[in-house]
Amino acid sequence: MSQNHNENRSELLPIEENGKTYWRSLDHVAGTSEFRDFVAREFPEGASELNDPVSRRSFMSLMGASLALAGLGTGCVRRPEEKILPYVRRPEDLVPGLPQFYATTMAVSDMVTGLVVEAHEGRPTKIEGNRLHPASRGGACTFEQAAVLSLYDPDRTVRVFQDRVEKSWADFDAYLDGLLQKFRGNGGNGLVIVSESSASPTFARLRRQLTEALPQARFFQWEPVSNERVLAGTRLAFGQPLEPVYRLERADVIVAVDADLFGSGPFHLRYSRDWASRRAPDAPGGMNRLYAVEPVFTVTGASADHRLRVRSSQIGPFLRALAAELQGQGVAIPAGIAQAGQGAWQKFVQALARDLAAKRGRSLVAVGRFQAPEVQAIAWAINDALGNLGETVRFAQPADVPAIAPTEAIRQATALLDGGNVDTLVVLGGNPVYDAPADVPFAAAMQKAKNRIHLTQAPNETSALAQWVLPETHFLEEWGDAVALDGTWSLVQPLIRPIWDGRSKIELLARLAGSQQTKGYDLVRATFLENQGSEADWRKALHDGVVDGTSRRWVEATLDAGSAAGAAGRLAAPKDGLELVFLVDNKVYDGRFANNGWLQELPEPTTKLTWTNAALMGPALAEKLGVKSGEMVRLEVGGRSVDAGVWVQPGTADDTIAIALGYGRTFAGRVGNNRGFNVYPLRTAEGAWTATGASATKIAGTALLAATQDHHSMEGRPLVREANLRDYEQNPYFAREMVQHPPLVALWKQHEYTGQQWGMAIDLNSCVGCNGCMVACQAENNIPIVGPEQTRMGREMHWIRLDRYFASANAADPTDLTDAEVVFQPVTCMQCENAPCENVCPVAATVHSKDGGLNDMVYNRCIGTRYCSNNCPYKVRRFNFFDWHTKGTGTGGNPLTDVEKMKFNPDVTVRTRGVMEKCTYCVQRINAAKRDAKVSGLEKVPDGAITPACAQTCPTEAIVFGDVNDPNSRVSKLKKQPRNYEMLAEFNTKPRTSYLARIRNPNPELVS
Amino acid sequence: MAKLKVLVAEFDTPAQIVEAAGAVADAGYRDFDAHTPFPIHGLDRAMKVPGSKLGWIVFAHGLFGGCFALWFQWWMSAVDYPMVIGGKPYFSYQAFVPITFALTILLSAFGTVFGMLFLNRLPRWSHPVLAHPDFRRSTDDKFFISIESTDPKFDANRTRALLEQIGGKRIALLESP
Amino acid sequence: MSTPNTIPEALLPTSVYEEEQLVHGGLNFHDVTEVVARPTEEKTPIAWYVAFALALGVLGIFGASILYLIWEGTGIWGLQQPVGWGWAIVNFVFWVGIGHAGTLISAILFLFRQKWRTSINRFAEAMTIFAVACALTFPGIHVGRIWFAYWMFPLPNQMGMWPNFRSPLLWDVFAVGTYGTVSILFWYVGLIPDLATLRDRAKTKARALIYGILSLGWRGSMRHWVHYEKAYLILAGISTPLVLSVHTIVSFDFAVSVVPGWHTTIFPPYFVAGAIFSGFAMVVTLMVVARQVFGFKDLVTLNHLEKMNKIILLTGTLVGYAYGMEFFIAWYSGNEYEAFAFVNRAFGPYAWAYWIMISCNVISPQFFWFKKMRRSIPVMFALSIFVNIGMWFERFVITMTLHRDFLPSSWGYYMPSIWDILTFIGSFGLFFTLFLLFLRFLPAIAIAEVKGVMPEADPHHGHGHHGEVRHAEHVEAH
Repeated sequence: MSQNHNENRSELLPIEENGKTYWRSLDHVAGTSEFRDFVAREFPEGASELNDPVSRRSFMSLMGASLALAGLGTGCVRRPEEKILPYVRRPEDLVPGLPQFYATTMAVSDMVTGLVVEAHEGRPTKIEGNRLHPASRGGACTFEQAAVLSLYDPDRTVRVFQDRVEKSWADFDAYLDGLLQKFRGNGGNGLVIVSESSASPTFARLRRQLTEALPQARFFQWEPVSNERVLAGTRLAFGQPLEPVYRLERADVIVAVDADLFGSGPFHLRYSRDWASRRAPDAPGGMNRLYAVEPVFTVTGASADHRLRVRSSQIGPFLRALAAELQGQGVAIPAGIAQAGQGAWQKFVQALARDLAAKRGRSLVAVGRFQAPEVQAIAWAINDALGNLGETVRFAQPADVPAIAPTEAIRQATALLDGGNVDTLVVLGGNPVYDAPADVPFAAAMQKAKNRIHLTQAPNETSALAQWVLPETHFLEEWGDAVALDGTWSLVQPLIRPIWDGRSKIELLARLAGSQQTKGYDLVRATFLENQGSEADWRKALHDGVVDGTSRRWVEATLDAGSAAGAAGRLAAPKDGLELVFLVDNKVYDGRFANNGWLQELPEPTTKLTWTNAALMGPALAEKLGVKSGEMVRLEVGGRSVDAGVWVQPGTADDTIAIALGYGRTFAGRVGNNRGFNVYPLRTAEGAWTATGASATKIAGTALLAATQDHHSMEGRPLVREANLRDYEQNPYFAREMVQHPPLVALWKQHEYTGQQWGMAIDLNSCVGCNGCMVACQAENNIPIVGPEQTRMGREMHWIRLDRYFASANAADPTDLTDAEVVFQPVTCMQCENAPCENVCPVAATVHSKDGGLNDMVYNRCIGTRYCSNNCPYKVRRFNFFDWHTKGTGTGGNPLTDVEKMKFNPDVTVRTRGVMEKCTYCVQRINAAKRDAKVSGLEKVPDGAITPACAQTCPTEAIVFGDVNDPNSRVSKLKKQPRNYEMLAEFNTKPRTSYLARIRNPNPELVS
Repeated sequence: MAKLKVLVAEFDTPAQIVEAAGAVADAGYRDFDAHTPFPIHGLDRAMKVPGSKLGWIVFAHGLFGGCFALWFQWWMSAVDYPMVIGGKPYFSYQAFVPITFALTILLSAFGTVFGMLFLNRLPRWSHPVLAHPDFRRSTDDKFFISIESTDPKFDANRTRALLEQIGGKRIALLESP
Repeated sequence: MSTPNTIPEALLPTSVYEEEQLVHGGLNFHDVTEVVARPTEEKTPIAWYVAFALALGVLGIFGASILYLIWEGTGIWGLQQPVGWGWAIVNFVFWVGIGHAGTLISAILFLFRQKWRTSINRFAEAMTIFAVACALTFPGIHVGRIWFAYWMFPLPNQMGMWPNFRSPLLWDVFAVGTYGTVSILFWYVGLIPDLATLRDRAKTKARALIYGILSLGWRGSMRHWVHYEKAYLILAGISTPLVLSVHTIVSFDFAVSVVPGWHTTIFPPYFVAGAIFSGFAMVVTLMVVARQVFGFKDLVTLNHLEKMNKIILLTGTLVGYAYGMEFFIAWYSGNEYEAFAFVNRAFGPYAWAYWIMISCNVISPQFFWFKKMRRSIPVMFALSIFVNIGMWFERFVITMTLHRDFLPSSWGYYMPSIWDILTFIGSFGLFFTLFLLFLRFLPAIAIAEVKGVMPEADPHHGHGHHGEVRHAEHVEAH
């Protein structure tokens, strides 16, 4: 059956998207706003050359659609060979209004996450994690949550273009055949392919096929953020490149050394979850302890029990000092590794060493991908000595290591191109012109190639230098497969037919490789059948999204002590002076998401900056440079310089300026252009993550940095309540006793809430502040973006926010934030039973629902006095100061295009201007669950049947929702815990959302 | 009915009008009146004018206003469309006081103004006295006494004599058109 | 007819006893009529046209900025999270406050037999009505969906819903609405005899007709005067609690909320004091100019102005006391949020506004301790303007308390946009347009009432000096 619905969808879509245009007249295709924008923006002078705007495809889709509309849906036009299967529910027939769920997979370079996507009438609207996928376990991060928006991005490549003139795929295929004729003759001499990295087995297969077919052709894979240093590190330590996979659930002591375990990178969701599983004070196996050693705050550092500020270049010496202390503790560290330290950190190192020595085999020293292979090797030596290998970390053969590491690859590619003997350059995705290392002049070299072809989802800096620009499919439009870090094989299946008639990388690669099959479906299926078995498995894999039993065979890694010691010896002595640290942005990543408004407007977890990056520096350095937040500095490294805005960030290492990659795009689109500062010009192949010998000087001008939270301190108010494990054990009820207030007597007789009553418990202990909930909420509830200017004014619309408070680690001087502790607190509508907002609304637009006990917001009754927001102690209400969607303040004043409108969740009202809005506990999901319960004849909605978007995406399951009247529901059990407290309960607001106090598990030695 | 006739006499000072009015009243006239640019204290008693009953009208209005306000607040928020708001009872009368008060005042005010107009039979844009050649000054600095033909003791000649005797000037007999 | 005399004579203001000269220049009844009526009759002076054109221009700004607001949305103002209320509400409270002086003068001073009020009450009542008109526009336009503002009235609608009678904003609608209506009625009742005067002096048919209709055929009948005075007394009686209640209820907008710095029981009395304070200041400002321009010097004497300045001094000091008491309670309550709110007012990001408020409202009126100052036209003019600036800032400071409430994560800083400013300036256009029309076409001073308090009005005038008794009679007669 399902393929029929699928068929309906794929036929109907193009029409939904700009049907109006077609019905008026066929020539209006060129008039669709997104197409006009595209031409105007990318090819101004080309706009006039538009001849024959009616493409074959639009005509076909028109025909198909008209047939489909004529009710012949299932029988109509091209018979589909593709079969995809619905996931959770499998309706006999597509029930209009009922969402369908399909499993698929998203790969952000090597971050492979299995997903379940919700589609309404064939429009993917909401992405959630796939519980069966090891990297997700049901969680999804900001990138995946926001992917829907990229799908409907009006700035995507909408047509095939040659030299800025619209062409068709037929034209391109003809052209390509011409080229391939030649290359088949000369074995591919003069053909260079530069692709972004891919975790797809099919991609790898086709790549091999291509190199067999055209031996002379050169194939390179470039990725600005990759695990090449990790592989190099394991090569040093174990003689072979190995992929380490941590098992945090088994570690009692975790040391994250410049490693953002929870932030970004493969398996970060899984790691958060595993870490959180040992976080509750009563967790089986006891509460784990996390040390973070890092130059600048990451979410991992924020969640740590102990955090040490260490300059990036000092990480190596730190590890060697640690090794020395471990030796002192009788840990058999191989010779040549240890080197007694002299740093101010000795006390910390000693305590840490004792802790580790006591937890042999149950500890882990994890080094991030940013550190040099030598540093990685030292860490492996330590882990080996602690007997952690195989226990808290396992190693796997990388699925498909390209012969050359990315940095080397881009170097060679550039050299080749520079040589001038390259006839044809094919760039598969990616954006090397923007993100190639500063000392690798790819852009200049690229233009020496005779034919330049770029397959890309959205035209970018690289497309600007290409002759052929080809529309690439979004992962929600394409067939594919991907292998996760632990080897789990999962499938990518389309949720929607390509909106812009794009082709996937593998489809284009297949043509280059001269394969007979050129349809993604056939290619992926072929790969699957030859590796993973039968047709039945295929169907199951489609259904589950993952292929059973495909996780890798683990490799027994044996340390090559000599090589490790040699590596340690090679470590250059750290230089003094300013050093620059490049960060992977957890919003735009390496820049690829720059045009995604949801991600742009997301506050960076620790700085709370939106729409920009900034030169992060500690208070001391800022003072030394004489700059304040919002002023400008000129950063210089090796003769290259970049100007950037300053943001004073507590807890940053001395003489360190950290700045995120991926901003300052000039060719990203209406949302992403000229946001923040592009620091790739400072990033060389060598100093890819740390640039020493940098200098910074204050320059004139101010940077309009939009932060969603200006105030660092909690002002000693009992908002986030935390205690050390020991104190907690002495007094488990500390959180409740933190506020002394007279008995809360109401002037009125309180209403009785019978039946199912909804409530929420948020565990501050396991929240890592990853922001996943914020984007999930935004996608689920049609929350608009407002743009940087409006965000600066404090008009952001997020229904759930993560409050971030810094506390000085310096007991002597609470205002000294050089060393800081940070806490996160997700805050959303508390659904107070005695809601202050309700009393003051003159038109009763916000009232309480007796059944469920929710604080309802009645949009169509609201007249927008904003009194409710003033009177909300938690300030969780959001006001539509403008008609954000049509005003497009977030997209440079561009109102929503027809395509963009497809992103909306039909179950949630799109709010108009002048009304107040706020979290509803995802009331649409509550009602859906109630309906289902009724249909299946249940008295009540079973516990766990309702999961609000925020709770659903939370990788650590910190948010739990349920019936507070049912003593056995998960939420009731949590609320019974001694850690449970209600924020500002002393005002008798009776919030339905409560928090579980945060418990730190510090090393007793380090607690003064 | 017969046309209304009015005898009007003019006086110069408050003192004169008070005495004159007293005399007319003592002569047993009923349907007579004094016209002055401003209220003269003591004149009402000299004329034996009873006190105003306006207060009762106002009281009734105010009472109605208050009850009505309380009633519709109760009916709207507790009967017709009850909603749980801020955990308060449907009929949270404490919160209904301000509006009840406001409407009491509002209705009282209406009662006062329209009650006064009613008691004075105003507006009445046409009245024989207004035809008196010098009556314009009744709102400036002159004082008048008018005796209406509806009075049983009214007699064109004798009444005119009385007015002359008490010092009335520019005495004129006016008829309603 | 006699009203029970509620006030022991010992307490009666001296003016009732001594024949204080309320009217100077030896004017007789006719002169009074002349002085007041002439400005509405003689040829319109150029100055008036100039002023009126100016006022209309500013009114145009008002209209334009409101239209743009409706077109674009509330976002054109500086509002944000957490400051959901900005200048619109500040201006609303400011204008309502100014509106209080009128009713106070006409009602409360009337009940206290303050005869001197007669020469200024008409003027002050007019000011009240126009100020309330300005005030009422703001709650209307500050909502997000202006075209649905009428939902605040209990009208049957397709949703079958009624407003929420627990909301202070709804109380405002009724309280201020009632206040506006009653003020207009009170004002009109007072106007009737004077309109009759204008009717009788009319030279042209049009004037005769218009004033004739408006004066409802008033013929100064003593039998009418009896009901009329009763009505006036009752209106004064009900307006007195009303005027006190209005600003009390306006203060509920803040006092009833949970916002620290708003949630205080002192608000009602302190708002009322502030309202009278600003109202009198505005009357002084306008009177000083008007008596100059229209030559009312003999009717509105320095004594009148001095009396008003005394009230300004009193209420200003009351307000100062309230500021102090707020701080004391904030500290004494032991509520950390409350305490912070007030420290933040005085020393936080908005300290500048706070100290402007203190210096204008508390310090500047203290000059009125000195008779010289009280009786100096330039001084009182300057001070009255300071007071109004100060009172505007008081409302600003109170509203801005929002910018730092419970959760530091949500703290912010509010900046007005150009549209906030233009809208505020524009509201003065509305005020002065109405005011100039009033001065041009209506008697700016209550003619009949002034005559009533002239010695000549006493039937026993000039009959030797056993005044005392007769004055006791007056008191009863009233």
